[in-house]
Order: sequence, then structure tokens, then C-alpha cells
Amino acid sequence: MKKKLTNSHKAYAFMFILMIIALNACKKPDYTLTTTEDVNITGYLAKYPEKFSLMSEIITKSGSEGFLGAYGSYTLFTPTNDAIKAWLQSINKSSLSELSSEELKKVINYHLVMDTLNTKNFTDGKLQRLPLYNQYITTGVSNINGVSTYTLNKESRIIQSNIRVGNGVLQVIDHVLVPRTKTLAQLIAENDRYDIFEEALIATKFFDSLNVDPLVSTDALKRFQTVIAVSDSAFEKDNIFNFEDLKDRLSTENDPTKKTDSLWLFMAYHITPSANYLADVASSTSLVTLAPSEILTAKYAGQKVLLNEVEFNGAIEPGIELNRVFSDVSASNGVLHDAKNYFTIKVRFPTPLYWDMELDGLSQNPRNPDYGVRAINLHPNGASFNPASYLPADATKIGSQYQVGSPGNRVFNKGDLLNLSLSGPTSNLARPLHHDFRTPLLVKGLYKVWVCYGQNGNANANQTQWVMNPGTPAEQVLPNIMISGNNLGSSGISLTAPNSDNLMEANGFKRYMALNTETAVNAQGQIVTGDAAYVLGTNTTVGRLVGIANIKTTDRHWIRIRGLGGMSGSNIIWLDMIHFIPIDMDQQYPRFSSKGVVFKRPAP
Amino acid sequence: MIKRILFGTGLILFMLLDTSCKKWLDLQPIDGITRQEFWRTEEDLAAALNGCYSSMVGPPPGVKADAADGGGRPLSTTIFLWGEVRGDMVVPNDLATAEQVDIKDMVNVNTVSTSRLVTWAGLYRTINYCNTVIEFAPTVKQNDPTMTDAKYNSYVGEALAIRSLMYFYLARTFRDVPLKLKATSKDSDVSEIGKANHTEVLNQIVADLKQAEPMVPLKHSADPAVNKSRITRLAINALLADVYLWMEKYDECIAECDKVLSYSVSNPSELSVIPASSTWWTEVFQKGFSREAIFELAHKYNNTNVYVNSYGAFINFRFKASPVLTSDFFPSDPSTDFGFDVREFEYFGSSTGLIFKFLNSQTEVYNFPVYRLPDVLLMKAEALAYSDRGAEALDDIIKPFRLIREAVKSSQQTPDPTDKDGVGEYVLAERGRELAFEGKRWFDLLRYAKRDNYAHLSILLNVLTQTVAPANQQSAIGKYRDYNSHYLPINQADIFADTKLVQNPFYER
Repeated sequence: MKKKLTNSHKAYAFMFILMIIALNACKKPDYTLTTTEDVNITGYLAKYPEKFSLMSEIITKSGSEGFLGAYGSYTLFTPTNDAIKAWLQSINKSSLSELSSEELKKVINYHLVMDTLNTKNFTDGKLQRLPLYNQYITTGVSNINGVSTYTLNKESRIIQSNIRVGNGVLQVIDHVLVPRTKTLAQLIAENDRYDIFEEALIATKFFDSLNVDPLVSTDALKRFQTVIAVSDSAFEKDNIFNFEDLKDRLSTENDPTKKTDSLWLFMAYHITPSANYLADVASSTSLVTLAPSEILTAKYAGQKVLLNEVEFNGAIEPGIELNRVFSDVSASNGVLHDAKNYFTIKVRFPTPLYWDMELDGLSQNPRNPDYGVRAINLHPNGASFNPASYLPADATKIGSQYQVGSPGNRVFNKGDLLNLSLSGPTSNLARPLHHDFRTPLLVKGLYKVWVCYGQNGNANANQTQWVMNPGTPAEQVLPNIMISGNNLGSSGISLTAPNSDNLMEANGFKRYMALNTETAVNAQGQIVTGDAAYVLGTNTTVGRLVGIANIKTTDRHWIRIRGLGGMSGSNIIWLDMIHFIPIDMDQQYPRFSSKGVVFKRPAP
Repeated sequence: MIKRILFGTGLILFMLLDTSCKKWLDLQPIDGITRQEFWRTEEDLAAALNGCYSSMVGPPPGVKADAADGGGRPLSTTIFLWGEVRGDMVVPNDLATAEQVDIKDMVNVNTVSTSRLVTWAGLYRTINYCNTVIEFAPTVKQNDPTMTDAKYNSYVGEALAIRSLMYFYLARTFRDVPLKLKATSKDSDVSEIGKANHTEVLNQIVADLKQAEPMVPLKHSADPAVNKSRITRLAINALLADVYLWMEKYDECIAECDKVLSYSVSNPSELSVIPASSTWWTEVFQKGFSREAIFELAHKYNNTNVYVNSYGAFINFRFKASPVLTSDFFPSDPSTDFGFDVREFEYFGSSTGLIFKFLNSQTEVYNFPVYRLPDVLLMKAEALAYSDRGAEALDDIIKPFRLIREAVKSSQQTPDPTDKDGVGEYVLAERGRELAFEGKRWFDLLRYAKRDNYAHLSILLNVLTQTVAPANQQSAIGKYRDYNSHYLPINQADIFADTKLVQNPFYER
């Protein structure tokens, strides 16, 4: 009996242990109920009170805790406790409690951007997004004792970058960011460098429009502006010693407030809408100014930012350098730059452009015989052509080439051409629908546009149209349809008839290659004739008037060829040149040759 | 009692039965081979060493060549990315791929630790293969009495040299790197190791190469394809010369170069500079294994063209030649006394920027030159220039070498032979002309810039003004003033995996 009992005891004990094990096995597993273990901005700051307790306090007191602790994508520039203490001292406060929640809200707003900004996105200029407080923060890099750090507004250094938290990015900084309080007008007025410029601003009434706080500005376009100021010493280099000298030299109507007065235009030419820091200037090719239809071209050379340095008519016109030391000065409503020289609107008269379609960075290399046989694909990614100068419609379509040669035994200027594939919108969509090219500098004015091509017999029904500045407010469709299968005979004029050149011109056609009987002097000083193959009866190299373009700004412009209707073909357009010739100038000369010699109109 | 005996017998029987199940419990893989089975004969050792070589031309099975973190990248692509992107010889095209974005960021000095370009997995994989060879070779020697000492020495020496080559790339790219000299062949070998100091790594490389030098023969066979694709003593000398030059030990560098050059003098059919001719490029680059080569990564053996997507006239290629090559390195010469520089003609299209050096058609396969004889010549010239022997550099090396290459007069410089930097920078320009696109440019620029405690930082800053986007240029210059920025960050994933790894401080701020 006793034995039995013991055995059953043992059995109970065993069962009991089993039950405990079983019960334990049923213990609820520890599932994660949140989607992420990342803390949010407020949570992160709370984790490191020794560094961020004051920032946490500002967030709480300004009532920002709710959204900074919740879902979102923010960038918070986070000053450390030391930074906030130093800032309090600088505004003569002993603690945060002496500031109202409204004031603290402003602090948060200037440190908070509604986007996740990594230091990778920083440039030499402004942050690409405005903080909630509508004033740009600038970025840069400074080096102190061999250690480089990112800086904000030139004074705050990032000491710990790109901390990813659940709802954004933290950038820890060593100085509180303080918004600028002075407007552009106030900055210029305070600075002794710009006395003449300041007087001119006042006389032309630009001073008032540059003195508007962006927080109260009603004109969205003028909320931020950029002023390129000219210092007194720069004026002096041009013998302008005071405002009167400037006015005497420029004012044409004796009333600088009039928009037709050259002094008003001069000042308007020094102001651009929107905040353009040097980095923005350097990376754009042209800047719109307040002077109607007048642009500033910008260029980056070495480390210099140059305005209005252009190649025009084969000559390089030296530009105006912006003085880095006195530029990139932030105001509450924009940015101030300093030009090293006095500069005015360049008065240019329309000048013809005989544009060989070699585009930037690609031309026949006489030293490389390989080019004689190689056709080079026009790649869309800038591989073979500068993307600033050529944009095909779509990279996946049948290609087009730059080619040295003479398809169909046509004679081409410099012996090269662009051999384009093209399709109309309703036909073979494996081919591109259009190609865009960018011209060299064109002076504003009225131009006859002549497209010069080799006639392609396979292209009889292929209609194409040319468009200036497609997709912009300045878009202009050139009216004449170009059929690349047309030869000069399509003008309806007998090529051998006397006066055929004038008659063809009247019908919108011209010879643009020199005849074998014409002579010119080449670069080596030798007298040469036109191509032997180009005789009076040759009708296969055609200049076609596609229309008159009204160029409204002096700039580089885009021009597009597009297919019409059902036209389609691979390598169907043999494009050689485009001539932009002012309407009142000789449209027939100069002519060209496959050796690249320019033939002037023969003396009568 | 009987019960006990029976129980005991049963137990013993059970144990006996149990042991008969041994085969069933034996867990040998059926589709592979274990370490105990492997390291037995010389053939095993040769196969293992082959693994080291082939790990440099392509990823091993199981690693994707296009792995997102770049861990499957062939060494030649890694060298190209680390050695050229930050230089001034190539310009990345605008492609929307994630890797191209990282490449553009690197050009703009914006590399972060999550970049696809900072992974070192491929190199450490090769290092581990080498470590395995070095560690298990003695076992083979014990097991296989037919293996000669010469063979044994060569295998171990080659593994040491390949490992040194990897560490040299790593040290020049990341400065301080983990120095792993023991094989990781089982789980318990995995351990966290921190970074070793740059000098420590370099000293290890020198010690290893010095040890390997007498172990490896001057040539392995009569077949140039073998001698140029395997490490020879000459390859070790060339690598040592490069390391010494990096360490600014010029006498030692010259001594190593001279070993290579004297071999070239006595064996011109095996090693010499090929004069410019219409077949020069075909011999050296298109066919490979030429007498100009010292050590090449033999892509011809695994038949992959690693360059199709890098450059050449094909869709979506990533790089083109920089315009600086045409304007500064090969300025046009109206006097045309030699015609044109053969290298300009053969390496790239001066107006299109297409790079032809390693690519003529999409299907051809090219080797990647790690060391060529001209490289050694120019290393010696550089060492001579900085040890007050500028006249020798100019008259004995640069002048005859330029004649061989039909260099044009417009790229000629006439520095004062006593002007170290004048001669040195002429050599640098000549290196640019000769070794363009071979993954050397950035290392050359950095070596020049850091010489004499960074006395020539301006060399790097000038490059920035040509390569960086205008909007980032001033920032980039500011960053380069911090010397830590000249070395890449350690991959974020590696930092997480090894708590002892410390990130380069430049990338912490």
C-alpha cells in the first residue's frame, strides 16, 4: 500500500511538472506590436537629456510636441544645450521661461523643414526646401584646424549629421539658427560699399520693393529677390564717382522712375526674381532679370562665377566676375551679390547665325582618321552629345547618328551631317517623334530660319515641322512644312535659269553650298573653289525657309523638328545646317563647302 | 542478479547496435567536399590558389555579380570605381540607376556609408581565400610527399602576394582597415576585429611581399598567358615598388623597379615596352598577355567583358573620357612633328569622349592590367625625381619613353632637373597619359597630394574645380581640406556587423 501510494505520488508530481511545462509553453509569445522600433524626434531627444533637454523644452513649450512625436518626414536642425545656452545669453535671457510660446514657436519653425534632408543634398547655396519660417537656410562646408564640417547660415556647424529617426532626420548643430532681420534694401543702405548703387535704387524706386519683409509680402514673385550690387569702387573704375555721374551717363528720359529710362532698365537688370545664391547662379545658364526680355547669362570657370561671358560671332566676350567675398549675403528677403565691374545691358543688333549642326563637343577630328568611317549614335544621356544641347524624344526609340560622309552622294558643309530617324504621331512609334536642339547665342530680333538638308529620295511624302522653344510660353511654330524628299526643283524654278537664286528665294528655297565655279580664300590663304560635285544643276542640297522666328530674348534657344501625320523613317532626315538670318539681310550668302570654307557673295 | 546480467548484456548489445548506425549518422555532404577531405594533394592546393585568382575576376558561385551592395563586383570594376571616379579622367553619364547616383555623389564628394561603392566584401573574400591557402598549405605538404618545395613555396608566395595586393588597395582607399591574417574556415573563427593603423597595414604588406619574393619564380612556364596572369617575382617587385612609393621610401622603390627593369633588359622578348605602331593597342590591350604586361586580371579566362556597361559606345554605359584629356593631357599640336600621340588615338575619341581602351565590340573580352612595364618605368622616374635625381628621370626614362609613344611636342614639358615638383608633376602628367582608365589616377593624385605631409593638397583641389558640379564645388573644396575625406567611409553594414570597427570621423559629422 505504502509503495503504491509513493508511486502515485510520484506520478502526481510528474504530472504536475508536466503541467507547469505545458502551462509555460502556453505563455503568450512576445509579439512586436509596433511596425518599427525607431523612436521619433521627441523620443530621440528625450533619450539624451544631457545634450538635448533644452531643445525638448522648446518643443514642449512651443506646442510642437504633438506633431514631432507623430508620423511624418521632417528635418530638425537640433541645437545642443550648450548652443541654446549661448543663444540665450546673446539675447540677454537667463532661461527659456523668459520667452513666450510664440517666440519659441518661431525658433522651432526656423529649425524645421518639412522634408528629410540628408547632408548629401546640401550645396554651396540654399537648402532646396524652405523651413516653416519662410526664410532660406544656406549650407556650406568650413574647415577649422583640419576638420571639415557642414555649416548652416555660415555660422552653425553640424556636429552630428543624418541621424535617422522614425519620422525624419536630425542634424545636430552647435549654434542656434537666427533668422535674418534685415531686408536687401537695409543691407545695401547700411553698407558703405554701395552708396552710388543705393542712391540709384532710391531714385528708381526699387529701394521700396526691396524693403518688404517676406512674411508680409503679398507678391509671391517678389517675396525673394537677388540683387547684384555694384560697389562704388567698381563704378570708379568706369569713371563714375557719384550718382550724378551715373545718371548723366545712363538716364535717357531724365526720369529714372520711368520704365523706359535707361537708368531704370540698368537697375532692373541688376535684380532677379527669386533667391539665387552663387551656387544657383553657377548652375543655371541664364537668369531672368526685372528688365523686360533681358537675361543675364551665367558661366562657371575654375572657381569663378562669370556673368555675360558669351561666345558671339566667334569671339569670346569677357564676363563680369562676381566677388565671392562680398557675395552670398543673405537678407530676410533674398540674397545680395557683388559684381567686380560695372556692367550694363548689352545692346546687340540681330546677327546672322550659320549653325552647323555639330552641336557642343562633337565635330570632325581631322587627326583621327577613324571618324571617316564611324557613325556616332546620338545618345540621350549626354554620352556623345552634351545634354544641354541635344534632347531626343525617347532613348528607347530607333537611333539617330552623327555621320561623316555623303549619303546619296549629297554634298554637306564640312562633310558631316546628322542622320535622324523620325516618325509622325500616328505612324511607326518605334521611331522618335521629335528631336530638340539648342542653338548658340541668338540676339533678339526677327530671323528667317533656313533648314539646310540633303534631299532624301525615300522621304518624298515625309512632312516635318520646326518649332522654336517648344513647351515654353515663348513657343512658336514655324509655318512652312519641310519635306525632306524635296529638292531645289520643288521650288518650281529651273535651276539653270538666270536669276534662279532670287526666284528660288522668293519661293522659300536656296542654294547654301557654293557652286564649283565660285571661289573663296581658305584658312591657309589659298584660293579654292566650291565642291566639284556641286554644279549649277545640282538640286539635292537644299536650303528651305521654314518660317520667320521672332526671338524675344538674347539667349540660347531650343528648336525642335517633329514629324507630321503618317511620316516615318529610320535615318530619313539628312540634316546639315540651320541658318538664322535677320530678315533685312542677305539670305543667299555666305555659302559653304565640304571643306568648311565660307564663300562670300561675289562682287558684282 | 540474473536480471542485472541480462540488463547489462542488453545495454551492451544496444550500444553495439547503436555503433553500427555510424554510417547513418555520418553527415558528409553528398554534393561537396569537406576540409578534412580536401587538403590532401598538390592538386587541391593548386585548385585553392586558382580560387584566389578567379575570385578576382568574378564572384564565386552563390554571390550575384550585380548584388545591390556591390559585393559581387569583379575586382577590376572595383579598382576602376575607386581609382577613377574621384580622378579627372572620366565623367559619369546621366543614368537614373541607383549605382550611378552613388557614382555622381562620389564625384561631388558626397559619399556616405550606405553608398554602393564602399563595399569591400569582394576584396576580403579574396583575402580569406589566400589566408586559407597559407594556413592549410603545410597540411598538404605533410600529406603529399610528391609536391616539391619549389611548388609549395610558389603557391604560398602567390597567396601572400595576392593578399598584399588586396590590402594595398584597401589601405589606399580606406586608410585604416581590419588586418585579417588568419583563415575564417568555421563559425568559431568569426570574430570581431577592429581597424589596424595604416602604417601597420603597409608594414605587413612589405613584410609579406619580402617573404614571398624569393618563394615565387621569375616565370611559371614558357606560356606568356600563364606568366602574365599569375603572380611572378616581377609582379611582386612591381607591387613592392608601388608600396614603397606610397610610403615615400624612394631608394627602396628604385631598387625594386631596377629588378624588373634589369630583367627586361636581359629578356626583352618576355618583358619590354612595345613601340607605337598600328598593332600596339591590339597587342597590349585587345589580345592581352603582351610582353608589356607584368600582371593582368585574366578576364579572358572566364570570358566576361566587365567593361561593356562601363564605357564604350553602347547603350547605358556609365563613363566617358573627360574633356580634360583632350585639352590638358593631349593638347593638339599644329606642328605635328610626330603626327599624334598613339595613346590619344587608341584610348578614346577626343571629341566624342568614347573610351576604346578596353572595348572595341560588345563581345570581345579584355584583361585588366594591374601592372605594366611602363607603370614601373614611371614609378622609378617619380622616385628619382623626389630623391634629387631629376636629370636621370628626365633623360633616361621620360625622354626615351615619350619617343616610343610618339608623344607630341605640345605635351612636352621642360622642368629644371633640380626642381623636384616640376619633374614630379611632369611624371604625373605622363602617368595620366599612359595609364588613363586603368584605375590608377586617384591613387596617383592622392600619393602626390599627401607627399611630405600634404604639401601638395592643391593637386586635389584643382581636380575638384574640373569635376564637381558648380553648386557643390566650394563645399567639396572645404571637405578636401579635411584629409580624412580622402578615404572612403566603411560600409554601414560592416559597422553594424563588427562593433569594434570605428567609422572614419569625417563621415560622422
